[in-house]
Amino acid sequence: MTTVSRNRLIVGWLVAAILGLVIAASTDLTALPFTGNEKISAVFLLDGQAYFGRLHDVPWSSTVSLSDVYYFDDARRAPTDLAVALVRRGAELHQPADGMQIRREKILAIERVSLGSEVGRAIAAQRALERPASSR
Amino acid sequence: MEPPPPRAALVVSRRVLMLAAAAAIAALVVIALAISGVLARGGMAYTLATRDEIAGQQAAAERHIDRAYAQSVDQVKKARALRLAIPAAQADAIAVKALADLAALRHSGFVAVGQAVGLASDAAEGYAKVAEQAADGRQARPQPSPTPVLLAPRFYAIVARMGELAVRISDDATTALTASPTASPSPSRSSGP
Repeated sequence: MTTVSRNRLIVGWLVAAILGLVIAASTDLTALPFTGNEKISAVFLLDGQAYFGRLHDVPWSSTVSLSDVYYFDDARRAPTDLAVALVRRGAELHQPADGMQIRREKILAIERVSLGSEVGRAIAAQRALERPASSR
Repeated sequence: MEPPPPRAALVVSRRVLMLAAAAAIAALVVIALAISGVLARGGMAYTLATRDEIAGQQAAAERHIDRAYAQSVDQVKKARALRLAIPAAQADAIAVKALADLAALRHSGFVAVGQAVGLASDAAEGYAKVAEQAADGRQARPQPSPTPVLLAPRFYAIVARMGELAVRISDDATTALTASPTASPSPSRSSGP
């Protein structure tokens, strides 16, 4: 092997390794597209409100976006087991149609919702109920 | 004149350079798609509840509807059991009507739950009758409180509306039962001489 071809090989491996590191570092292996589980996030705001949904976090944007959004509502007056209820965003007076944008500086924390949690199961049930009866 | 001595250099052919550029562009596109969420939105798994999980939610919704019904029925019966100022026949009529309204409300709540899980109108009516019988049976034989369930928003909307209306019916009945027997004329200022 000549010096030139050896150099090419080393450069090629270096580039591949760096690319692999970058992709691996920015990838959630448990939520890969087409293969992994769904990733539902909880976004807690500084004012105490929390929203649940699919988080789209683009690093260069000053906002994060949530789609398929749910939030907690006061259910102390309702005859339920819990003092809070999960409400799907979209039934408000202005009927928001396309997710929500949240400014980064208003966010206190972002956590991942376990799919087996009460919130995860209630969201999964809501989706199943929204499907046409024929496809259930 | 002698040519300059060869220096160590990385010699890359044009073909290799083009391939490397194409690979770099492709990698950049993939990374940009991944970061922007396009791939994720297109291929993300979508979690749906199983039939068993829906059945659990449905049972919880039924239980909550029946709880609202039982609380309101209890309120009406307690108000009727008081020593009232209105005639007994009138009190009975108010209580009977309130209890009938509450029963109809519970029935329509069960029908709404049945429709939410995809039953047709007739099937939902049948389901509601079975659910009513089961609920009456549970009231006769009280059972330990099950694990709390966070309802799906669609079930919660039904339960919350049912609870709201049940409270309104029982409150109205209580107000009517505890009213004074005859509407006494409200004192009005008479114009002085």
